[in-house]
Amino acid sequence: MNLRGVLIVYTKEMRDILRDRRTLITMILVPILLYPLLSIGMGALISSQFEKSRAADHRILVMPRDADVALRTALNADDQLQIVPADSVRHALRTGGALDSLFRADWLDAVLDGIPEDVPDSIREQVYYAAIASKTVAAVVELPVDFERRRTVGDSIILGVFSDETDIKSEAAGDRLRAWARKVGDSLVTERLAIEGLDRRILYPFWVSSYDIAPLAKKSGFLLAMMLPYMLMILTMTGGMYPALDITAGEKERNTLETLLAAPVARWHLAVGKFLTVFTAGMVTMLLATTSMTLSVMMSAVQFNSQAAELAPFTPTGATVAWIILLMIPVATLFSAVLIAVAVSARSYKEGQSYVTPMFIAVILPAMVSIIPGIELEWGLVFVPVVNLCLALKEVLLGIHQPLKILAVFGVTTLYAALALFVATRIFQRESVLFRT
Amino acid sequence: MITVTDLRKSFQDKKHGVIHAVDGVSFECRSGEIFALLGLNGAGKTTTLRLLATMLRPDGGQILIGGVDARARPQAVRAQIGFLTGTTGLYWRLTPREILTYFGRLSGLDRNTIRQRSDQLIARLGMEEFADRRVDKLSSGQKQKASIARTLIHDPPILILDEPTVGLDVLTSRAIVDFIAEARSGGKCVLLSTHIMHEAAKLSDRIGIIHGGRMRAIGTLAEFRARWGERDLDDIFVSAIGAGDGRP
Repeated sequence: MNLRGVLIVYTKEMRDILRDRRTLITMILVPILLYPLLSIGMGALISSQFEKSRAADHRILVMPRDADVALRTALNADDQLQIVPADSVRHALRTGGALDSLFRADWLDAVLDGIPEDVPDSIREQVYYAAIASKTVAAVVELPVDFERRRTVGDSIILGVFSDETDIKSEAAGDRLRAWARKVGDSLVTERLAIEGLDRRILYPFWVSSYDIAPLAKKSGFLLAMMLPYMLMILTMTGGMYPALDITAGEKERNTLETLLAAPVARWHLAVGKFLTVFTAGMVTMLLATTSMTLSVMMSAVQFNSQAAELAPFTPTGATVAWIILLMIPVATLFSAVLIAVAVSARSYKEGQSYVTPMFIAVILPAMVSIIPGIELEWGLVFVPVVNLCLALKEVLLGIHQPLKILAVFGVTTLYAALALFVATRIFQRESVLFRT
Repeated sequence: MITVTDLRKSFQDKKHGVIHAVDGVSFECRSGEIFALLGLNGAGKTTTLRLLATMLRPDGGQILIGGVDARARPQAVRAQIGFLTGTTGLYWRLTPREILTYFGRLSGLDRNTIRQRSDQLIARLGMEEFADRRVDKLSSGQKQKASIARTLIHDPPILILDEPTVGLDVLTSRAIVDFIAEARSGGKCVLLSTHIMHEAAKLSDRIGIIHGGRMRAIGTLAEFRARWGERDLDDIFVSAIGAGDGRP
């Protein structure tokens, strides 16, 4: 079979798309930068914000006004807790507009000056929330009035900690208050045990020691195994999208398709040459993304998950990389063929974009299986496109050996890809598609 | 060079049902001759030319191009033709020379021949200054010259030109008109379509008046004048299609 036409078309299209800025950005820049920016950049930002909020002083409101003095003093002794007087809160809430205008002033006074139990929960919570939302305090703690009595009889001492868990500062203040309660509680336990003449070990009938025996390769591959398949699917598609639109619908829009069709080259040579161009773009994107993500995981100490630091160094084996590439070849083929078939049906670049967008959703949704824990590669799923590949890639990265199933995924995807390529070349030969106006 | 017999092509249209775009058209075009298909928009000119260039497959009839049956050997037919339209585009990100190389290679020429032919065409059309500049940086006149060179890179004996001057300014149209005349004197068979009467009258040796997918008359301008007793091609055209308002 003479494939000279395919080669000529492919060479020209590659030259053409490599001069297109959009293609270069999606094919080269995005896959290289996306993951490092997403994980290291975002991860570092989130953890630095988190650390910052932990390290800061926490302004708290202590209720009620006449709470036990000893406890109040103990709270004050914590160098990160800063007690804000109730009058400051009252002033801030009256002037700041944080409370609903319909909220009665005497209720505010009842909460701030009275006994907490005497005020309905909903009213108290409204005042506390307004105090946190207005940034006057980060959290509110309700202390018992009868601490001394409870302490003496050995009863539980009830503390109420009110915080806004959707606000990182308020959450940190709540955590600090709970930590403080644990510390104070611990010394109370020691005190009570000493009075009764008991050993502290009486509190721990079991002492559980846990050992995570997952192999290092699996542990370190875990994060990558969740993210990589998903990202690879999307990026392989993205990498091929612009070239596919450019060399089909774009060719129609710029009125170059007609002259190309008048050239002495077989239509299927044109289709295959163009398909190979899109395939190359998808594969380049995929390879760059894999390299970039693997390097990021290997080098990153700071991740969303702080334990990730323990996972380094992760070094993928040659076999893992080979499996990934082997599995991605039929996927890139499938995506490229479908992209070409869809894009050539459009009259213009813009129309093509609106056809291609739903394809992304069709890929993103099934690709999410790699992120959802618990779904494994079962025989039934071997035949579901995208899902099968994501699960197979995940298993390869986790070092799970099911070569038969993974080969079956490769075979099934190759079959789908061949079918899609056949359909794409047929569509490329249809007059109604090529001359759609 | 071109022999068309009883050519037919119809399309399915959602609104209008089956449309007989080309309905039994027959004509001939010889070497060293310019044959103009004259018709209104929608008369079937473009479809006829696309059928001849084997972009579309006919429903019936026969097309012989240089003795080759277009239906049986479409690629061999395409190797003999140069195809150009007034709206033909070029690859923006390539240079004229790269485009010539691309189409030269698609036509099966070797690299040496392509280089020689490109140099000749670039010199003949005065393209030296911009032959290596990207197309998106060229003026419309320069682009048109590049298009002409692209049409001629494989030295085709037959030129099929669909409304070659439509949408072009006066100077650029003149370049096309000169190119057509030169092609005829070079012995090429030139088949063009137009809806511009004076262009057909001025350029062509023979005219085929096409209307509603059918060939209504074929002849030289002199023959038409004798037959209808009109001097102006506009009047001849209206008489030939047999409609006072000139609508298909």
